[in-house]
Amino acid sequence: MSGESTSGTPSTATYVYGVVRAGDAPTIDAAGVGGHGRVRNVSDGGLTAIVSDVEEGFVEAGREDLERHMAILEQAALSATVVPLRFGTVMPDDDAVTAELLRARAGELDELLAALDGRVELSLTGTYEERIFGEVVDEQPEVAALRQRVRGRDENATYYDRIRLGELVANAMAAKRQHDTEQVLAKLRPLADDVHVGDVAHERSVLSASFLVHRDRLPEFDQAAEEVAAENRTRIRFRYAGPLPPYDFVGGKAGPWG
Amino acid sequence: MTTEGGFLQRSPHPSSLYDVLDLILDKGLVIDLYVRVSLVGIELLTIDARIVVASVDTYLRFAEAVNRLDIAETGAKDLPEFIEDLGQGGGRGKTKGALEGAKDSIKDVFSGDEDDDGKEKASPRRRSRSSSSKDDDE
Repeated sequence: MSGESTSGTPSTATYVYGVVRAGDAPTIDAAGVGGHGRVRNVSDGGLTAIVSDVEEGFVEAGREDLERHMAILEQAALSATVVPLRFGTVMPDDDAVTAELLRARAGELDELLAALDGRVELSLTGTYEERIFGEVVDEQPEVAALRQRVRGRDENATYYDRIRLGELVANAMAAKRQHDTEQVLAKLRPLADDVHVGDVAHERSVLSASFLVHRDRLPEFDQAAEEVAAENRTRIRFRYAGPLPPYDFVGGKAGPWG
Repeated sequence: MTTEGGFLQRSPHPSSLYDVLDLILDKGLVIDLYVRVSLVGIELLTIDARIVVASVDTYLRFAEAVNRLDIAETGAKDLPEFIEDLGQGGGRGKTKGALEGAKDSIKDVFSGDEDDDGKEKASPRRRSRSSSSKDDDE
């Protein structure tokens, strides 16, 4: 560790949350990940890294650390365009942050900050209500017929019929999922600068999508999302979170979490 | 902090741990060699939450889900007609097609003192199709 380090005692390292333009670097008064240090800024050139001290041996984090990481980035995103870093990024000291992040990747960070300028992420997840199965029965004669055959009968005697029934339902659900996802995206994509559609998380999930939206268009996007939810109110429950830091729009998918 | 704005369930940030993980893990700019902190006790939860969709277990759950539907979820528009049937002393032999099962379901709820042929005591809320077929023949 360098003797000129400003990161405190030799037993600490520097946890990095994200990078903003030095001009709109926020002042965040909060305890950092690991609970060891307070949030502070490290600046070089036109860029500022939001950091805090962690104990050097800090390698295992819990849920509260994840929530701190998220809360600190959200607070930064209130007033600044922020490039969030992957959760768990720890550099040896502030000098490393300056040399290996702010200087070494200045060009890339500048480009990202320009592309993200004034934009935030909105997260929309949809889950089918239980009654979606009624839709499937009404729309698929084969499902309705098989259902009649197995309904109320001995579970063992109908085992293979039930598997077949479930498979037909699963196929119908997949088709619905694709159709409904397209409908939602058709409505919201035009209002976003970028869209990321994540993996389906659950067998009744419709979609999990993130939208990069300019702050100026937030009211419009908000209303469109509300309309999507209203149109599907009897069949899909939508959860909507944001504005958030643009976690999904800073590249990089490979990492220790797979 | 979750608020109900019309039909959207809104919150300033993800409200469940699953949503937090989904939103944050694997995301964000990576500085090579420096992502070194791991989460304790959370990875397993992530895997559990990502149910593999195409499995026999899933099929059986889906079959169970369509089988427990009641008239509120499919064919609700025919309810008045069905109540009329009940008023006439039972709808035996009149219900056909896709709605039949749904009607059986609600009928079972009402059928304590009606249509009791004493054969189906093993499953008080559900009568077998063979029983209904027999009814149809009467």
